[in-house]
Parts: sequence; structure tokens; C-alpha cells
Amino acid sequence: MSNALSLAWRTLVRRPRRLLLFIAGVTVAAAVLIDMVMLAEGLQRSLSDLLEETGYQVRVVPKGTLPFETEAAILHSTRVAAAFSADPRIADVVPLWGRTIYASSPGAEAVATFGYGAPAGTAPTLRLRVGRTLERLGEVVINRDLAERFRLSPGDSLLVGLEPDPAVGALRSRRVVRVSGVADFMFAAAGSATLALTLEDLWALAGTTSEPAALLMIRVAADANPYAVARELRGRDTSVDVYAIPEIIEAAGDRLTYFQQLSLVLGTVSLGVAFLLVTTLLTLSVNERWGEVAALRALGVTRGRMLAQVAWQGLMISAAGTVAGIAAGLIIARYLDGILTSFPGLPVNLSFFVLDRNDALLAIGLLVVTGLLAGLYPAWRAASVNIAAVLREEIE
Amino acid sequence: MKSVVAEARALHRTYMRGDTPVRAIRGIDITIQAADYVAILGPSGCGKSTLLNLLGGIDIPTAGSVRLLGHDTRELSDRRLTRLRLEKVGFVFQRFHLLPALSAAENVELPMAEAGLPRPRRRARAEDLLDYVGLSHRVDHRPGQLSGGEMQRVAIARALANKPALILADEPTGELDQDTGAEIGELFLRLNRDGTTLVIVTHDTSLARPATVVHRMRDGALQTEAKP
Amino acid sequence: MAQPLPELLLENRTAVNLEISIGDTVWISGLDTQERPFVVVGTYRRPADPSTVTLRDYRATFHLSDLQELLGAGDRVDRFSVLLRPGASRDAVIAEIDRLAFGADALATEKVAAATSETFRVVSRFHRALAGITITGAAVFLLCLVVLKLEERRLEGASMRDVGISRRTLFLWMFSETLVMAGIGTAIGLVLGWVGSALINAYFRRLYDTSMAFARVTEELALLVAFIGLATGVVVGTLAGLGLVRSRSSRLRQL
Ligand SMILES: Nc1ncnc2c1ncn2[C@@H]1O[C@H](COP(=O)(O)OP(=O)(O)OP(=O)(O)O)[C@@H](O)[C@H]1O
Ligand SMILES: [Mg+2]
Repeated sequence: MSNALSLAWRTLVRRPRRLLLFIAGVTVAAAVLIDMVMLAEGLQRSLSDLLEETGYQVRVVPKGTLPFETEAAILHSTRVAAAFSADPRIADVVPLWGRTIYASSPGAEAVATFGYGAPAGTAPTLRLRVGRTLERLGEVVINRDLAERFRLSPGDSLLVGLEPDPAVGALRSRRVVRVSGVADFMFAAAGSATLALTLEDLWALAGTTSEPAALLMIRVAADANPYAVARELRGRDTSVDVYAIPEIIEAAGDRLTYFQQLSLVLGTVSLGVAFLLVTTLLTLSVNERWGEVAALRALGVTRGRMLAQVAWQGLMISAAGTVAGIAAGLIIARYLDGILTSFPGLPVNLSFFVLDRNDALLAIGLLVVTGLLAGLYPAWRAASVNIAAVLREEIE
Repeated sequence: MKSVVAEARALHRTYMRGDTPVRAIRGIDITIQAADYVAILGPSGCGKSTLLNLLGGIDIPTAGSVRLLGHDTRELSDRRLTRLRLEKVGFVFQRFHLLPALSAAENVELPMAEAGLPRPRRRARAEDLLDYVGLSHRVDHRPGQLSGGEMQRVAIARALANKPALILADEPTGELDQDTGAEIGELFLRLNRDGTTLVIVTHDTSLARPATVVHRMRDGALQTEAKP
Repeated sequence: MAQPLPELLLENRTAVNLEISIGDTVWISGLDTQERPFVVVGTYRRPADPSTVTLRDYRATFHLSDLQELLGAGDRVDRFSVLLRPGASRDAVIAEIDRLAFGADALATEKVAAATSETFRVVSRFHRALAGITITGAAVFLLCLVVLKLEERRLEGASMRDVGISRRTLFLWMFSETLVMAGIGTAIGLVLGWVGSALINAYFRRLYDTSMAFARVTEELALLVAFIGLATGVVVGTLAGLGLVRSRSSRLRQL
């Protein structure tokens, strides 16, 4: 085999400029393919990672909605949560609620923020940066935007309330809370002011007595299967939707069909382009070398080796294009991700382009197979050359 | 008694040109014996190349048979036949057909590599062969850097690579000027004196003169004249 | 006599999903208010707003006072739309509202539109970046094809030079052929793009039940594509033409 391989190599590099041009073509195609493979499931993966990071594997939401998609709420959430907690397979239940509230600090104008409410002592969607999480009533955890805007650090106080009342000239039902920590909010829109109060405080602020929750987060016991738990809870209460993490990703899936279709179309086109490039180049190269091919066959190179020699060339071009394409693709993906993650309202830590090992292998495999298939026709032509006829034509 | 390297019996080769059959070889019997120097002469289109291809197992007869080193070429699979050519037959073409990507030595090594000879041994043998054809100073040159005569010498060295029982050459001086052609002729003669069996198709009388057997062909048939 | 029930309009998708038809009575409650009955007097399509088209939420439209009651929100609203008298200065009104109305922000219509259309600016930037990549790929592809053609042509070109055909003719030969190739490719691309956009629209209109257009081959876009395609053809064609003319016959023979 090594002879076919080295011959393939030597034949290719005989026309270095042409070779480089074609490899550049395959590189662009490979880069696009890699990017499309990253994009197809990237957002889902990234979202899934974020959801997994909370440590809670099951979400309960009002029927027909996704977490925080609408203002729909599960009422009397304390009771609902307690009922769920009784299940031995459930280790923990955290209700979360949220609504727009206003924050201001003496001398500064009030700003609208998104206020989360979580039970004291829990903060599954926060990444604390300074201070500590909510431990008692009257405390607030703020995000860095808010901390910077009002120059706040743990221990400082902050005025929170509902919308400004023009009749009074102040925030409705306002109260003073104490900053216990500054945190990144995993699911909050990048660059927007966000804070978290205890659920009780948020309910009191909003003047509601029905204990609404937008979402219940459930951590299952170590030996329990999240799917099974979700399935059973779903059966138990038909006014809610219950999702294990992969199920929620799937439910959100049709928001993302666009990316999947785009990836499918562009990915297919790029494979087609790679195929055409390799086939054209090799067909031409075989045509140019007709005499050489016939002579080699006459000298004793078998059909199989002849086939292998041309097929190797296809593989080499696609391999070189793939390697360069992966590098280029990763760079392009970063650039494109930079564009897409500037979508307003998107959490900071999401990515649209995520390289999964299996998908990377899939893309590489597709490219290699494409290179191989593309080489097959010219290789077959070379292998089935009519030796005598070609040698004769060469003289004429 | 000399051994038979190749023999053809009641050989026929008919090509189809569209619907018309072209009878290129019409009933030839020929025997090539070891250490023979056979020259085949004849007007253009009389079937010389076709005969050579049939003898070398590049082409298969329509009727009759070719026995090459005891094997009937029609009965071998393409794979076995290719292997037989690789190990027992050397070809020299009018157009040399060296691989332009490879150096002179690498071109000579090619059939040895194909036959599975380990690298150091084939390199040494390639150098010996190039020395034999008078090109020891051109070992690492590419075909593009060689003259026509030099290229043909490389091609002859390549034909000798696997110590073939038979060398077939189709107008090996057809592309060369007279002096260069004469030099190639001398090389062939030396080859034959050193024991190589040669069959050469040629228009070149200087190549035919030293032959031990000369066949004249006309319309696909032989008119043999044995030399004294 | 019983009071007539308050009315509401139901968004189409919601009505279909919940299997509610006009004339039905639905019970609706707010966060802290009692459930109360409404009669469905009509359905409507949600506005073709790209920023909400992918949402699957349920929607209904109420009389303002009914909604305020339902939410227990008192006399509160999210926003006012303000129509100015002819001749009034918009900026002056905005400044006045900002000064007078505590907690309210007055915004000109374009500003609101700009804020909600940010998403689409991002999408369009993304598409433009992809277009850049595809154009690069297409140009390399065309270059590859032309290089092959050129190599095929070299011998022919040389012999044509030998029989006295001028460089100009040779150049034009290669150039026009490349241009025609680019032209045909562009035309096929436009047709594919047009068919593709029709398919995309059909698919997403069905998926999201909307009348919105998701992809459109506008006249300007078609012209731009034609321009880029032909410009690429001109550039690559010039390179190819020069390549053919420049090669000397002696060099050509070797190939
Ligand atoms: N592949 C083929 N298909 C059809 N006809 C062929 C084929 N090969 C050879 N012929 C015909 O067979 C006859 C013999 O051809 P061949 O090449 O053997 O002649 P030649 O003696 O070698 O001629 P030259 O001296 O010109 O090389 C010619 O009439 C030729 O046209
Ligand atoms: Mg001949």
C-alpha cells in the first residue's frame, strides 16, 4: 500500500499551485460544514449545559408554557412544592417566580429590573461573585449591571418597589432591602439590570397572596431517573407541564428549527461542493496522466493498486481540506457566534456554536467519505483503462 | 536446447471499429526463445504493436493462444497476468512513459517496490541498473531534466528492474535522433549479450541489424527470415 | 335580567389549540382574582411580528377595563400611544411628558421600532457574514474550474497562436467563456434562491401559522447577486484570459 500512497502524494504535489487552490476550495467547504454542525445543535447543547449546571433535573411549568416565557403561574406553589417533596425520589423542590420591579437608590432615578424570587437559602440559577446568597427576608442579590449602576456592594441598601406612581411621585409599595451579594444570573438577559429577592418578599411586594411560581425546579434523588420522575409528575397534575432537561430542550426546539434547517442546507451544499471539487480535480488529473496510467498498468501495477492510488489522492485532498477547514471553521464560528450572541435578551453564557466531539467526528467522517466517494469514479476509470488502446493513442 | 520464453499459436486479434471488424493479426505462429534478439519489421498498420502487446500479456487474443513463460494468457485472471508482467516482462515504450514526479532512480525502483522488494535493496539495484545504462550521474534527476536518449535509458533500466525473462520494446528509438538511436541500439545489444531476451518492433535498421531473428510482417501475418 | 357577559377576542392559534370557537364562553382568572366568564366574539391572527412569531403562548384581547379588573390592576396601563395634533413639535411633547410624568418614558415611534428590531439587525448581520463566506467559497470554486479549463486550453491556445490568431481573440475567448459560466451559475443560483425562498416561506408560514415572509428575493437583492456573480466572473475571467495569453507556446508544448 505504501507505494500507492507515496505515488498518490508525488502525483498530487507535482502541481502545487493547483493543488493548493483545490485544497482551499475544500477548506472553505469543510469550514462551513464544521460550522453548520456546530450550529445545528449548538444552542440546545449550550442551553442544556446551563440547565444542568443548576443541579436540578426536572422543571414544572404552567401548562403550555416554557419557563418565564409568559406571566402564567403555578398558584399556591408552597403547597404544590411540599406535595412534590413528599415523594422519596425527589430530593429538593425550589419554586421560582419573577416579575418586573423597580430599583432605585437615593438621588438616582428608578430603573426597571427583572426581579426573581427564590426561597431563602436557595439560589440555583445564580453564580455568586461577592457576598453571600439570600438567607433571610429583606435581603437582595443584585447582578453586576445593577451593582455598577448604583455603585453597590454587599451591606449597602437599595430601594425596590413596583412601577412609579405618578400620583404619588414615588415607586408603588416600595421598601428598603439590603444587598447580601452580587451574582451573575444564569438565565437573565445580558446587560440588563436583574435582582433576586426572597420569594416571600417578592410576593409581598407584588401584593399577591396566591403564592405564584413561574417554575418549580426539582432535584431528584441520586438513584432516581429524572425521566421517570417527570413522567409520573405529569400524570399526577394535568394543569402543569413537567420536563426533564432534554425534554425541555426538545420542547423549545421549534424556536430553533431555523438554525437546524440552515445548517442542514448549508452543510449539504458544502459537502456537495467538496465532492465536486475533488471529483473534477481527480478526473482531470487522471485524464492528463492517461499515458502514465496505461504504462503503469503495463509495467505490472494491478487494477486494485491503481484504484487505490487515485482514491488516496481524493482522501489526501479532503484530509488536508478537513484539517485546514476545522481550523478555519473554529475561527469563523467564533466570529459568527459573536454576532448571534448579541441577540437582545439572551443570557450571557449561551453559545450558538458548540463543538461536540461526536459531531466533530461526524463532520470529519462525512468529509473523508465524501473525498473517498469523489475519488471513486476517477479511480475506477484509471483502474479500468484499456492499456493497449491508450498506449496506441499516446503515440498518435 | 534453448528454453521457450513466449510462444503464439494460430494467433488472431480482431478489433471492432464500429461495426466493421479490423483483423489486425491473422493467424500468426511465433516462438521466442531465451536469449533471442527478435526484431519485428513491417509497414505501418501491419499489426506489429498488436503482436507485441499480445506477447506481453497487455492484450488478449481473439483466437489462438499466447503462452507466456508457460502460462496461457487467456486463462490468467487480470491480477495474475498483471503480476506475471510485473515479474517476468519488461516494457520499453516509444514515448518512454516515465513518471515525471519521480527521479530517475525512483522510476527504476517503481516496479521493484510494486513487487515488494525492501527499500534499501531496490535503491541499490536501481543505482546499479542506472550505472549499467550509463546514467550513474543522473540518478536523482527528474525526467524533465533529462534528454530523450537519457529518458529511454532510464526506461530500459526500469524494464530490467525485476530481472525479467523478456523485454518488449515498441519502436524504442522512434522519438530519438539517429545518433542517440544508435546509442540505444548499442545498449540493447549489450543487454542481449548479457543474456536478456529481446523483442523489438522497429523501423530502425540499426536496431534490426544485430537481431538473431528478424520477422517481417504484412497485413497481420509473418514472413519470417531466419538469420544465418 | 342577567347582564351580558364581557367579550374577548381570541388569537387564532390559541382558539385552535384549546378547541374554542366563536360564541363559546371561557372562564379566566387573574393572579389574585376570581375566575369569571367571557364570551368569545371573534378570533384574530396575531400580528405578523417577527419578534414574537416563534412564541407558542396563548393570547386574548380584552376591553381595557375588563383586563384591569381581571388583573386587579386598578387604573393602570403599560403604555399610551400619543397622536399629536398637526403642527405640534414631537420633541417638545416628548420633553414635556418626560418632565411631567414621573416614572414614564416618552419615546418616538422609530425608537420603539429600533429597539424591537434589534433582533433582526443581528439576524441580518449573521446572514451577511454567511453570505461573505459563501461568496468566498464560490469564487474559489470558480477559480478552480477556470484553472482546470485553462490547463485544458493551453495547448489549443498555443496552436491557435501559431496559426495567427491574435492575443486579443484568445483573451476574449477565455474571458467570455468564464463570464458566461459565471452568468449561468448566477442565473441558476437566482432561480434556486427564488425556489428556496418559496419553500422556506411555505414551511415557516405553516410552522408558525403566520402570513409573514421569512425569505424574499427582492429586486435589489437579485441585482446585487447578479452584480456579485458577474463581477466575480469578470475578475476570474480576466485572470484566466491573461493566463492563456501570457503562456508562451514553447512552455505550452511541454504541458
Ligand atoms: N484499439 C484499436 N481499435 C481499432 N483498431 C485498432 C486498434 N488498435 C489497432 N488497430 C488497428 O489494427 C491495425 C494494426 O495496428 P498496430 O498498431 O498493431 O499497427 P503497427 O504495425 O504497430 O503500426 P505502426 O507502425 O504505425 O505503429 C491497424 O489497422 C490499426 O488501425
Ligand atoms: Mg505500432
